[in-house]
Amino acid sequence: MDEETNPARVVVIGAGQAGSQFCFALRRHGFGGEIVLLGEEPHAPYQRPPLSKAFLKGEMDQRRLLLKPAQAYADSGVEFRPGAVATGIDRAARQVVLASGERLAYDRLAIATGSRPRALPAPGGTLGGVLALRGIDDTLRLRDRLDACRALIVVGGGYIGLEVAATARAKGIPVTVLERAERVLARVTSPRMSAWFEALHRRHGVDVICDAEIAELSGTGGQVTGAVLADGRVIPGDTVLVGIGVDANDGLASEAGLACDGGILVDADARTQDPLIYALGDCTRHPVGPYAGQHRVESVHNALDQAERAARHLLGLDPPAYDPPWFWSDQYDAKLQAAGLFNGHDAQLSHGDPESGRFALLYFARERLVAVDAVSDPASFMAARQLLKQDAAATLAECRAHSLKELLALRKNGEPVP
Amino acid sequence: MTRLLFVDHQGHETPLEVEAGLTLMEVARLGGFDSIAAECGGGCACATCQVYLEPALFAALAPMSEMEECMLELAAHRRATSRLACQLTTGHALEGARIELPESQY
Repeated sequence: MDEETNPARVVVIGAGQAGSQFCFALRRHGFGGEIVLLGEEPHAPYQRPPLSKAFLKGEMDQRRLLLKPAQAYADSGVEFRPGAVATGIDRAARQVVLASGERLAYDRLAIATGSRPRALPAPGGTLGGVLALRGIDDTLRLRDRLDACRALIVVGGGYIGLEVAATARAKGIPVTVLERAERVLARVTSPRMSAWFEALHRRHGVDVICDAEIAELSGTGGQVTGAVLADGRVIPGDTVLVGIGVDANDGLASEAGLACDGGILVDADARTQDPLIYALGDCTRHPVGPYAGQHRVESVHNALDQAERAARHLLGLDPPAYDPPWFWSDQYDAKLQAAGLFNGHDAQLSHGDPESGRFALLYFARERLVAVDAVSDPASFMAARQLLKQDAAATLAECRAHSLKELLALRKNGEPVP
Repeated sequence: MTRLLFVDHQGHETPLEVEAGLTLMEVARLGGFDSIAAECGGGCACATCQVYLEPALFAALAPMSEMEECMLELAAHRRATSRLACQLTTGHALEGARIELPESQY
């Protein structure tokens, strides 16, 4: 093979789930060249989902977070460099510039720099006890705080915030969730599902305040003591977890002249506009299966899927079959499993009884199934993932007549039920 | 410690002796078996850590939770003795177990 299809050295910036998976996918598909994996953190690549759940609870030790045993990198010929900070990409010279001053040559580059939590724009956002959650070290800090916490304020009713709220309630800590929008999970699910999760948290004793505009965080001696809302309400709290979303780490790419728009723009094979550079994971925006537009999909599944696609493309292999995006969240005894993208839906159906705690909401656009949110309903979730793969999308009429599991069985070879 | 024998889809056998109290999914991951995708990392949310047990062991283990049963029911390549490795914990019950791995979880 020539250099075009068998480059000598691949450099990966970012050792999260996407970057790590990409390295091993290259090897699994037979890549024999050099692979250098640059990670900013001192830790070997690890799983992030438990950071707001089992690891925060203290039910899981740090070693169990690792995606691979430490020696797996050397064993697979992946040169993993922890604590390596990339400060620039010199596309003309095909080099990555490191904070140490070193210039690292690449034949192909993958940018997997992830995302960073948004800082709270209100005054007091930098007081002691105001924390974000992104990495192991953040969780360790939050875990220490929670051990002595008398009242926790969660700013932002997204997945991270609500999972932390549930974990803190399990420890018996009083929790207030402050959400700026009119409902929790506003960006990621429908009003009905938001209402269900809000009620779930209220049943567990969380004070959920929506339409909450924070005027400032108050403090004494440099430590936070509470939040003051724009309407004058004062919410006491000695620890504040800020979970108001993340921004893509696309600075390196944009400085290198690659197109970015709320994330590095890549195609379905994770290619940037530079044929030598891929980008994958949370730092990207990209087309997703049959859905219109470009999407930033912050999920493990997306990281793994883009890593596989990029690796195959780099090696000149066929792309894998389309696998719809999916996500999960554990809160108390409820397990949310979501498949597809619900944005732009114009109709919905519910299967099962929300009161029972086991149900699914189905979303449709122009009478075609586009997404499913299943709560403690794994059968509907698993069926949805398969139905969403089919070329002929399931219809509103079919879903009115059948459960998703029945429908999957009835749709032989993916053909609509007559 | 628990002694386990992993057998991949081509019949290659890998004996491992591991500490008790880990999930079988974690053991497989530590052992570098790439066929255990374990996308969700052990949350019983994805059904990508399927393994096949021997019938006698399958029958001897405590029955599956409804969650695991439902996830497996629509998982790819399911067999009669399939389990999700994230729902099994190393220890006495798995001593000497022969664990067959699928070629892929997809």
